[in-house]
Amino acid sequence: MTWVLAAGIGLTLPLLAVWLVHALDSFRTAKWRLSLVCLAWGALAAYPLAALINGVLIPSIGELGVRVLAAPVIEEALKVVILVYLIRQSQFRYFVDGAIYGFSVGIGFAAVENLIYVTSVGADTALSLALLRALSAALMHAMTSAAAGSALGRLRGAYSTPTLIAGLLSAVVLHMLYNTVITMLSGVAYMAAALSIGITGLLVVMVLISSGLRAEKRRFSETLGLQNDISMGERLAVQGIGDGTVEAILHNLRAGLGDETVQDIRQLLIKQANLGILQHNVTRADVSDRLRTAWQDEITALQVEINTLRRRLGIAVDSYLQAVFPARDQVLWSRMQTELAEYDPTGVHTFDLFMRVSELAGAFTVDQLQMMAQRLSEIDIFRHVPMHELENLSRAIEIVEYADGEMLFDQGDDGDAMYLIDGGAITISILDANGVETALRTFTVGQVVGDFAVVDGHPRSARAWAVGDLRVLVLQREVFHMFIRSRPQVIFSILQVLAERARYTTRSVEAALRSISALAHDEQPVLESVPVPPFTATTEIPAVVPVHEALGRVASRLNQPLRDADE
Amino acid sequence: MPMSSNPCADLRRFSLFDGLSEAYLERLRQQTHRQTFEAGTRLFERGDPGGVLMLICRGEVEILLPDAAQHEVVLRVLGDGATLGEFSLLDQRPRSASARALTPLDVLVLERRDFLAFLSSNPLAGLTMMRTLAERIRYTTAYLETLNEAVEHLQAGHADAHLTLVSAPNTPEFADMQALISSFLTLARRFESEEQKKPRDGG
Repeated sequence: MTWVLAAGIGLTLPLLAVWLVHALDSFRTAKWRLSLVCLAWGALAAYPLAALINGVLIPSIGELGVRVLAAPVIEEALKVVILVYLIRQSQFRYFVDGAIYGFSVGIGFAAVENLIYVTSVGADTALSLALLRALSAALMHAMTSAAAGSALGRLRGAYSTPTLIAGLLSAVVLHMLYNTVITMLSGVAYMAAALSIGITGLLVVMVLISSGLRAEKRRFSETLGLQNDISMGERLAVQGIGDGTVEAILHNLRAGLGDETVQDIRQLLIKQANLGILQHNVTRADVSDRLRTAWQDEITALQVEINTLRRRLGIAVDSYLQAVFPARDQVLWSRMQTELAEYDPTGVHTFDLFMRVSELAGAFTVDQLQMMAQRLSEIDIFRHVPMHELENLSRAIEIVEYADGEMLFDQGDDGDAMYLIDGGAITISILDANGVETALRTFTVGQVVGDFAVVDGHPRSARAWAVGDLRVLVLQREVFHMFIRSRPQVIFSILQVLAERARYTTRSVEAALRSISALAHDEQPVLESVPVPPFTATTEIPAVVPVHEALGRVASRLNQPLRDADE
Repeated sequence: MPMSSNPCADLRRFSLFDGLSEAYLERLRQQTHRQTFEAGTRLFERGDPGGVLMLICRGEVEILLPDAAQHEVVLRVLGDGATLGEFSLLDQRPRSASARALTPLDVLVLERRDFLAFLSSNPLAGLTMMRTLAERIRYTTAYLETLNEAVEHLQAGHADAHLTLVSAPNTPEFADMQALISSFLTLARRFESEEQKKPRDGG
């Protein structure tokens, strides 16, 4: 019975270790199927062959010679065969995969070895031997092959003999050391030594992985040309926007990790970029508590989403990303934010990034921002946009002055900005086909010209002249679009207002058609009441056109007064 | 109007989605779901909060309004391919009329929260929709202004009240405009003939 228990321990503890390693990896990089293949190889091919060869050699070099010199070499070589095969088949190109598959080979080998050992000793020592071997020999075997596997993984498909030999060598040396030590020692010293070598093996694997990650980061930095004595602005100028380094890395990862994982990584990087952008805002931007709180709320939400993604990606990928793109490297992240924004202008808060590097930042006091946000909220299309968003947007407003008689824009010009009048007035005039100019309307303080232009960029339908000393708050369409691109909620709130207006004008046309048709054909006209939207009146395009009134007067003259549907 | 072989698949029946690429339309389609109603079912009531867009795949819907005596009157009947609630999806205004299934009904439904989900993942599609709506507002407002001006001329007694309109594109959506033009001309003629019958006021 103890043998069964011992055998059970000898087998299950190692298998538990494999499961643990995979659980840490969250099935994202290393595949279970390949792990089992490696396990099977270690158990059913490497071990029997090794046992056979070792047995053959014992007569010639003696048991000691086999244990200390020959066995390590033979066992490691046989274990690693499956890994070499897999890497030549491009089944793994990522060194952590290599570590995991190597781990599995070692465990498979050790599990069978444990079984043989345990069943060959007396019942009284079987249990303790099983336990000890599970924690020392099994781990040692796992770690040596993991070391070999991660060395192979670093090759990333480019097969190179020196690296392979280096990887094997480290595995062999470790194994030799272990075998020598346990042969020479006994009792507690033996156990201590066995366990510590197992742990050293673990450290070797970790060193291999982290040095690989450092090399990756060095390569990345070199590509970016980052040097400590150049300022960020110069760097950006020298590098140019979007030389695609992050994209190149993501592209390389796709082959080893798969599209879905790379998508998650991209999402993670974007959220981290936004986190950096917003944290910069919170510490550096001079804004109201209301806006600062809104940013902090968004930061908190982002952190939750980031953690979810990191858990989903697994420790292996996560530590890779942390090493290649360390969170504390502010310069690197500034560069990355810009590049990520290039490739995903709707995910990254491009507006806030722009505010950081443009001269517009910091031009206004908190009170001025609040005042401008209030003014913006009185413009019809911004009616449903939350105040803290308008305050953020206000940071990009420019205050411009025009002299009396100066032209702001001409008929036909690109509709590229919105003008909110702070002082003075603007007169709109149109030119007809003969070039005759007619003044249409004058807008005064508090009113806005071009609110729709900022939404759709429609060419100007009229000319605009400054009347008196004109002072305007200008919002550029490009900047506004940058702002809303990463804020779908704001887009929706603008769509709401536009839908209300479109509903009203469409229904007004339909109602006018019915009334005119009825009047034209001497029928009894009934006017459906068209509910007027609760517009704020500050809008360049008139919100209400009183066609109903004009038609009413025509109808009276025809002695057919229009009746409201509700009468 | 030519009937599409599958009116249910064509989200472009909503002018709101004019200008969206096939890729965006496809993703939007994925947010919709089919619903069936038995004949006689009330789809929604006047004053309901709205927030649902419907495209009639098969069947007929009656749009109802109470008349002066509070009796429900059928304003119009919509059939295959007709759209309901386009603005209601966005503007959160209450339904302006009630709707009832005249026959067994098969509709494609898009709810506001699903539309918001689409918008969150595709903000650029939202920008396109903004442009579409803005264009519509510009166009219809300009039209109403010209109409207003023409009606003012007419009732002020100017002999040559003619409608100088921006040219209406020859699409079904703007059929209203063309009908408006011809009706107005008819009205203008009638008005002028009535005015001529009246005795002139003494000087």
